[in-house]
Amino acid sequence: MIKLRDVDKSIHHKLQRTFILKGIDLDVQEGEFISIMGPSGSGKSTLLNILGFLDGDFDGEYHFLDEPAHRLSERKKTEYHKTHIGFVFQAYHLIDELTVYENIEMPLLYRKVKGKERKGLVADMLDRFNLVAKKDLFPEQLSGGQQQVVGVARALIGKPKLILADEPTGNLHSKQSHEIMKLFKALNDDDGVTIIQVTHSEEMAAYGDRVVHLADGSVVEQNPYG
Amino acid sequence: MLKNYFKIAFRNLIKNRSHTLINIGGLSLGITCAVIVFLVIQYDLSFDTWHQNKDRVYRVVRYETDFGNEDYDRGGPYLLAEGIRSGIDGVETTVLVNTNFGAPVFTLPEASQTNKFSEGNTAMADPGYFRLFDYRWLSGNPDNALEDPNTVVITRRFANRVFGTTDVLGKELVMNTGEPIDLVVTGVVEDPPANSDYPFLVIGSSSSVSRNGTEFGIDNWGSNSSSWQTYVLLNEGVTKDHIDAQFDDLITKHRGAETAEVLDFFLQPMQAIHFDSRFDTYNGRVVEQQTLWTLAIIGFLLILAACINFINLNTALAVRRSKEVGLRKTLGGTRSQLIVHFLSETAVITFISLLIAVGATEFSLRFIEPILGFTLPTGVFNNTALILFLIGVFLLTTLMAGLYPAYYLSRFNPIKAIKNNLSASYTSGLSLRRGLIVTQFAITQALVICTLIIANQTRFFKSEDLGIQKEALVEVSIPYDDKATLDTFKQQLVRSNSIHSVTFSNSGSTNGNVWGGNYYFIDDTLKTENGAEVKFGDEDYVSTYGLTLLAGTNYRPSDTTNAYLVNESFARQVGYGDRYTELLGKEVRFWGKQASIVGVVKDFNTQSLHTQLAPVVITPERNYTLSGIKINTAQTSEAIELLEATFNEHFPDHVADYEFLDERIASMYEDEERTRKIMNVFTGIAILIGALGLIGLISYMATTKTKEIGVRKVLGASMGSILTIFGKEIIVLTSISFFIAAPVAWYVMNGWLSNFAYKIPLSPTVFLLSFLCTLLLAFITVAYRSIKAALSNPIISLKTEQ
Repeated sequence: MIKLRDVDKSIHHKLQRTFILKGIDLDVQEGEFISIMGPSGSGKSTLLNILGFLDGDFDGEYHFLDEPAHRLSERKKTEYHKTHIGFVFQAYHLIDELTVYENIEMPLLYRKVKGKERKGLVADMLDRFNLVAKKDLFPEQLSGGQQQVVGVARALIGKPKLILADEPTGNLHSKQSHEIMKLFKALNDDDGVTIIQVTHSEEMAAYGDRVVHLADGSVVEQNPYG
Repeated sequence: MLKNYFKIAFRNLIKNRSHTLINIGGLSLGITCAVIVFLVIQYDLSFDTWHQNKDRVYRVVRYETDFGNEDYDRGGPYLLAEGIRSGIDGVETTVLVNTNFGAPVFTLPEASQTNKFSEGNTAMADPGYFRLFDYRWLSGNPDNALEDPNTVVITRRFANRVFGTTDVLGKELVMNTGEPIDLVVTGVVEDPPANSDYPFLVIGSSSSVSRNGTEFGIDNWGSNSSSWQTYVLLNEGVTKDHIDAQFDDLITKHRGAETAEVLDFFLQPMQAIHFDSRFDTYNGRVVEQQTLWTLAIIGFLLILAACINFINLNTALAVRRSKEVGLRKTLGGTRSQLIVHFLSETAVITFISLLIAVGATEFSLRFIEPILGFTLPTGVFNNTALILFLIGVFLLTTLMAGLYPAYYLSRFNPIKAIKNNLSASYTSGLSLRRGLIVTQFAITQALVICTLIIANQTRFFKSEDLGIQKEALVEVSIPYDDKATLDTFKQQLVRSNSIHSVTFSNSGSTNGNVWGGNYYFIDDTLKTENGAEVKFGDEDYVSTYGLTLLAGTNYRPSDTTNAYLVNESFARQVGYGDRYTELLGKEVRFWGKQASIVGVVKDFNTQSLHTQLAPVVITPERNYTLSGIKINTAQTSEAIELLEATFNEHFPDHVADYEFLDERIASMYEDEERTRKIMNVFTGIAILIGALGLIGLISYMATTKTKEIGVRKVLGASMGSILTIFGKEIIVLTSISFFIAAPVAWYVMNGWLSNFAYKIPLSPTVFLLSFLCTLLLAFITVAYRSIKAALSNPIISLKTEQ
């Protein structure tokens, strides 16, 4: 599904070139659940941004579903956002002015899904994540864990093939974290959704099929099936 | 989708209440002004547009070059209509409209009737009048109503006033001018609407007026009067040029080739009559299209100022929404979708402002109308053009205010936006915001400068010494000049303690009604011909109007026609400078009468201060139409009562139509006074909108600078030095905008002042004053917020920073 070859990401600062990512090779098969680990500043988030088409400013090759993503047009990238990729953020990033229901509904609006179908899809999601009773609440009225559940629901509503999660449990306490991870695991097992998460926690990383370790912008260790 | 946008828009508006109020407040003020401006322009453009033949109707106007002066007049000779009928090709109907009656008094023929009805809107017109001008007829036949002598068409209002009914066909009326005219009502029409320049309530047939010389100059091609106006209806397909080309021959035929050199007639289209200030209209209001344009520009500028507030506030607040923008992009929102989203938020604000503005317009019209001097038609929903205008304003305002913030917000890089990691240069957009503030300040300052200059000029008009004593002076029209009657009239009046003196003249001292002609000054060495104004006044003229004698004496009652008084300008014109005594005894021939100069008076303004001083000749020639009465201000009411009683005794068929001279002179500046008041309103609103924007911006600046202020205070900055942060910015912006506003205002005001012969100089003081005013206003506006910021506890402000 994903194939990175010799991907570099650097910033220029007063004639100096600093590498954030250097020589990244990465293959991800459809249906995998991968955890990316590494110390702060090792380039985990940057890698995730590149994978999610949020950052197109890099050198090297990125093939997404056998298409050269490094040459994709802006329109095509937005298209992938909409149809193939769901994002889950550490800080949940729900829109404060929208209710739970509206937050989950939002990606569908951008895809011009018809009203009736939209209602059905959102209702399914609410049902699945036990959010029905909370659908008219605003984010600030929810606990962190609940907000992240909404965040996951929002990422899933577009039926993405790939979920990119940037420290999805970073702001949660342990019990909530495990619930979110179980959710991911179930999605991965039952629905075959590919999941790539960035995490600091060995415990959370263990939910994945394999772990990719980054240090100073390079992949130091891949343990396929380990 | 849109529903979703609007829902979020509303929530955002409620969340940022104070900014919403500033935005809506500013926009609704701006739109209110624009709507009022629109109504005024619409009203002025609607004048006399319903006449079916309007494209073929013209007024024949006169152009004369008189000793280098260009003179335009709306009237011509009485005989012009006849001349056109017999000598000009291409005209279907020619109509003379004669208004040379002032406000005649109408009575009913029955002897027992004592009621008198004075009506100023009276005209005598040729039969074709109703071919040219459309009226709604209640009874009578427009085709032949004015065909016969002694017929009259009256309007509903006049019919009700005189007869108590509109069913008056065949009833009789007497019109009391010099010689009473009997009239039979042959038609009743609806009153002309307010937006007509032909406000006549009584239209008699011009054949009713006796041609036997009762009216001065009526059978003379050489005498012109603005009360004799000629209108023509051209044949289909005939152009104005075709007619204009024929006037030269007509003038040559009746006045000779020499006069044809300096005199010309030409056609003025009916559609242009309301907008050409070279000529007057019957209801006295002419609006230059330039004035309408100026109004439109001011209306647009006010909306622009409000939009600038909107843009400034929304780009400043963009940081707060950056996360939302980033998220929406990550979740698949395209840039164009985001732009539509933000525009729809603007649309909500504009729409609310629009609704408020429509309400505010209805409410404020009652205060605006007295300033305008006319009543605007009300009602939004029956005014299609207004609805279209409102839709236009809605779209324009939404785009003007919303497009840039939408473009700006949707541009954010999603990763940085989500992490609230936008660099300073990305979010501040300071140069643009400064540019907009400068634009807004420039608008405000230009308006302030113009308002101050206009106010100074109107004050100057009212306070400037005219060389006469205009206080406590009452003027009343004299119906006819009969020596015996006038003598007893005067004697009866001056016997009372309440009246100091009485004089008779043709036009008083200062009057729109100017008589003039050419004179020969007969000297030992030269015999020059020059133009001068003439005043016919009796021996009390000089003392009653308070003229100052510089040399010689006033003429005595016995002098009758053998004496002239002249003024300083006359002395200069004939080359005597200020050697007034040498002028005494010199002979002057004026209008065929030769007499010597007995005195020289100080210059006085015979017309409003729009016009230069002119050489004046004063002589006791009898042709008196006006009486000037100096009253004792301690007994004003007694004086007026006595005046009315005495007038009625001597002129029973007329009404004493008196006016205080100082009030009449003040009314000569009504236009300027109106401009001043309208400018006051507009400038006030511009200042208000500017202040609103400034409050919003400074409160934003204060929030973003909280940390900076905290750090500075911890490092020992005084409150004064922190206020400087805000103050410096304002001084710089005000100064830049001043340098933009000042030349523009100077240019516009220089043009405005060039309309007047007497004007204030464009002194730098006014400009400086407006600069300081704007600066002061800006400081007052920002003072509260910046002092609050400066006083805030640094520990708290630093702690809240993450």
